[in-house]
Amino acid sequence: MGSSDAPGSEVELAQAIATAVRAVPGVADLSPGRFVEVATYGARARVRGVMVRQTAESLDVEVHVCAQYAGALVLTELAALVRESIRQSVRASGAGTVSQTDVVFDDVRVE
Amino acid sequence: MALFNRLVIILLALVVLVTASAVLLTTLGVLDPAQLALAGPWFVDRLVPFTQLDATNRSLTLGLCLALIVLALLLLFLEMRPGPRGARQITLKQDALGRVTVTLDEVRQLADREAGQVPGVTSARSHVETEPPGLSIACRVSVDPAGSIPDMTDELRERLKAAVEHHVGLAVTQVSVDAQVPPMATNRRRRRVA
Repeated sequence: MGSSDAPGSEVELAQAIATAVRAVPGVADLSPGRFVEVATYGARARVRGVMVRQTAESLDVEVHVCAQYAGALVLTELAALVRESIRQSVRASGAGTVSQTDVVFDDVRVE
Repeated sequence: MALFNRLVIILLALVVLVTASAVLLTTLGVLDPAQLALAGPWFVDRLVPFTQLDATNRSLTLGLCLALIVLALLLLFLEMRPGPRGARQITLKQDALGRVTVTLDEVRQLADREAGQVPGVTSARSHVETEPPGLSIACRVSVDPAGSIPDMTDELRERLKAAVEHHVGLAVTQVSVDAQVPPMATNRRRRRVA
């Protein structure tokens, strides 16, 4: 993955979102999707696990997440943390506000 | 993107199949190039030389055409067969901000993991179904025959229900357990009768 796509592009935004989501406690990693690849594509980069759809009116994000198993794991609470991290990441990158955030748990990892 | 690639390969395979078939039939003398006038004079002109091949080139052409036809049919089969079914998902939450989903397979794995933690369970395999207003879990376990199976299955039911409801946040309406005792290892020997 490079950062050769235009600043403010969907790929740049997806990279920022991917970094933010990976930093959430309880997230083991992003998932590229189970049967169909989920990614944001740019001219020279591809961000797997994050799909950004940006239109003039809205900004929709879909993230596919591998959760880290723990006795205290509650998927809906983890999803709330993921959503919040996405919201903050988008705001910090100056891309406006997120209209819709879909969180898909593709995997629960046990170490 | 994947659909576009698939369409391109299907089209290419069809072109190869039609061309190789036309060349094969022309070489065998079954088809007269003039019969393909509808395909255009350019295509007919390309086929004419195949009516005048010597024995060596004829065999080579037939072999090549057959190989191309087999390859094209193989590609068509691979590209046109239905793809894998998508993972079944259940919605954990849906509000104005978006949707939170989890694959049913992950819920099954959580149930398997919890079942494996119950003392006396040696292996577990669960099946999870959505049954509004909640989830239904069918768990098949192999158990250690030394313990009490009714006690173990009661504990298993309670733990599965509590764990899945805790992790997933949906009500578990039914837990059925099928406990099996693995067959005892036997040490029989066949006696050979003279």
